[in-house]
Amino acid sequence: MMQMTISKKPRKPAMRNEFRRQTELHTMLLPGTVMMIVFNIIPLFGLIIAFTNFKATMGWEGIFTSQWNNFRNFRQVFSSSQFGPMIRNTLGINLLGQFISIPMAILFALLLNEIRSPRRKSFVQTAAYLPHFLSWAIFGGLIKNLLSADGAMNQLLMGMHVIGQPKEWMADADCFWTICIASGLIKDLGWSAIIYLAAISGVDPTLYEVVDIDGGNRYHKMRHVTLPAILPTVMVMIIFAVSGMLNNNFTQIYVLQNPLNMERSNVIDSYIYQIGMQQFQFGIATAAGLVKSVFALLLLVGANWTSKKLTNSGLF
Amino acid sequence: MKKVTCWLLLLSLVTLLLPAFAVAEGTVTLEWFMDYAALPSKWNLEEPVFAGITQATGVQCNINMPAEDASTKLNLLMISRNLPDIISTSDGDLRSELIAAGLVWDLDELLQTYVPESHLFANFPADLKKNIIDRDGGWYCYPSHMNSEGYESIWGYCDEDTAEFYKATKYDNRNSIFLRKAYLDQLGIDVNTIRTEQDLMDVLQSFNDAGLTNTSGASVYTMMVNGDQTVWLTMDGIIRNTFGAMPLTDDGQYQSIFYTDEYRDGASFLNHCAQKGFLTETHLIMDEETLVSLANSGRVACYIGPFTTLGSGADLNDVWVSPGAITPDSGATPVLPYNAGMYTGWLNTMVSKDAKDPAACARFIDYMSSREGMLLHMYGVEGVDYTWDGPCLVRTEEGMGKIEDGVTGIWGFYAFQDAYFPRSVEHRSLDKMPPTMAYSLTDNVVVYDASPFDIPAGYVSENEDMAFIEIETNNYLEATLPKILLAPDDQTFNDQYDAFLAEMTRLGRKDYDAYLNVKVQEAAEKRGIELKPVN
Repeated sequence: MMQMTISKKPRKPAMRNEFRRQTELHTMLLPGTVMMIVFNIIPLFGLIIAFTNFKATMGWEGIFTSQWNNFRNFRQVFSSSQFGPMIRNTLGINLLGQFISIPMAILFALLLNEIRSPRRKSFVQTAAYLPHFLSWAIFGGLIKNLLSADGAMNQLLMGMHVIGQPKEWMADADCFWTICIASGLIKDLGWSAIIYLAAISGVDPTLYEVVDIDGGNRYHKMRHVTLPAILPTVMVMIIFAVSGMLNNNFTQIYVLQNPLNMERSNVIDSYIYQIGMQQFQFGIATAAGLVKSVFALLLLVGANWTSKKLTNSGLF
Repeated sequence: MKKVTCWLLLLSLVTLLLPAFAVAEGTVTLEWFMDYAALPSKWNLEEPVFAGITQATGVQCNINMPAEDASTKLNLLMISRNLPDIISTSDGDLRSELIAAGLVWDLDELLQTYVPESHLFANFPADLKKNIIDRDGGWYCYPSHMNSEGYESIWGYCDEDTAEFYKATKYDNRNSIFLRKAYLDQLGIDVNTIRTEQDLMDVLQSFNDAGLTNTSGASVYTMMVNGDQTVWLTMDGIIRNTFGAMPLTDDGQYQSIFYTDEYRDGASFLNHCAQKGFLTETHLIMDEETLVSLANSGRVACYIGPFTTLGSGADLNDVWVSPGAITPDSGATPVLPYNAGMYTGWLNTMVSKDAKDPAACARFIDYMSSREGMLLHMYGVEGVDYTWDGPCLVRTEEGMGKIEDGVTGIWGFYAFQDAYFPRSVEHRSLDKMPPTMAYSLTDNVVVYDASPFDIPAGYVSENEDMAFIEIETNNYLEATLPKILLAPDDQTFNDQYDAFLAEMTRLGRKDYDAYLNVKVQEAAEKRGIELKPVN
């Protein structure tokens, strides 16, 4: 039998056989695939309304039957007085945010890895993860209270004689980016470090032994073994961060936004929400979303290309 | 054994879930979407009001009232072609879109078909109906809080005093300057002595200097405006009128209100409050819940905005007093816009063409708008929540406590509240004047007919360029004016205000005004109104 098989002309196994062999795996994949189709593929048809005069009363059929409007929605997005500020705010908050949060998460993971006592390590880890599980509605409320005129921040700064009078931090547009980045960091530092911790746990222990033999200390292990070992993971995370450069945490921005900080808090996502969900200009909102997605795709490809050139690792 | 356990589990689950789906026998359950109401999320048949409505109509409703962004939710329901049976919305654009798309019933046709003997054929004023038909092209909505002279003859007044009261207070104005009586008394200030802008500023200064505290010892805010809605509710609601602004140029053409000198004076008043420290950033970023909680716990000495924001209940009338209209330093005459045409409703109730039981919808609207229905959902149960004293009813203490409590349903069905019906059953007397009357009763206030400024719903949204300018400029206004109100000195205020106007013009607001002016002039001509600013 065996001989017969070998002597036959090799051919690709039939798809059906392949599927049968991997039934369990395909079953596990099914919910995710269905979710992708329902929430990511089918809604793509909705992009049509970025080019048409769609109105809600047309129903979903209107997506396909509404009139072509000669890129009017795109022209309105680009001619909006909010376009410049929202691009500036989106990029500003994200660039600065990622510039700070990625190294902080790596540093936190490295330091956490150096804690010898498992109990202390798990305590710090749990404490750092906890804020992630609070919704932004609650966490944002806490931040607003903390930074209000009679909040703890003012009490502290006045107690230390840093400021003479209480300040309404949330009303100061110039402070918004800092508040946004810092609150995001506090909330998600522990969570973002998980992926680096996982990468660190996969480092070959013999490499550390080599450093020991060479007389290196813990800093040398971190610098010359851990960091290079997790570099591919770091690059993947940077690629993700770059491709998501135009995505803000909408809920965070929405919760922290107010009329006095609007100048610095209006980002692409909040503009889309405002135009689409509050003012029902679905076409303009979809056009803004589409522009954002196209740029995000270009950023993703660009970041992947750069990563491959620099570190020889990339996503695709 | 396993099977027995499974059956037992299933049985207990069914027993647990059954009450949640309990419906009264022989009733129809309708989906009812609404923007505003003081109703519980569940149609509670244990409450007499809900039980009474169901008994009379055979209808109970699944109440769908989004906590926020109701119009957004309704839009999404429209897109998915999943319209609720009954829709009560305050959004004029959505109303006109629903009508234009033929998605709702013409009430005439609905009632003729299913309740031909409906009282609405006799009890819905002809003048109001005509106005609604002029506006929408048909009688598609049952409006709440409508205003029509025709109602007077339908419901009448419960006694002479009440008739006298409503004639004297025709121009009730819920937006005003309100002062907490206890703090005025504490400082020995008589509200009637506050006549001018300077008087008010002096009172605010006194409040500020007194270091007031509430009964719990918490500090009191000298003044309060409508937080993050200040531009719309405080500035547009009261300040502009107090300072005499009308949306007209000197030659009677429509212009956005912020272009007028009087509006600027009003903004300058708030700016002076800010310069003196009475108004801070905290005031302008506050949400409504915080504002209401501060005001109701005695932590606000002066509130400028709509009285309805503070809540409801007769006790509020004892807590707050109003000096009425103050005379601005500029000498301008305070004005009061009044819709002398007809107010065609706040919430407009419509029936979806896809309603699963149009007959039930018709019965429901017919009953809720009837005398019997309004007595039940506005006043509760006779003998428990109110008693009769001759032709007028008197709420019991128990009934008073249930108003808008969100549980019993009493005074909570906003969509079916008739502004005129209470006149026929509730006694009113000029001896006890609510603070909301003070503004219109001030001697120097000039009432003007604002009906030409009611731009027909859909007029702006049908012109995409104008709709875009409206969005752009309103967003700019909302983000910029609060900052101008907090300018550190007069010079900065004036510079920022000039820059604000210049940017508004650059964004196309003058073109938008010219577009609206067409309809304003048309309406004025049709009604024979001469458009001329008072100041």
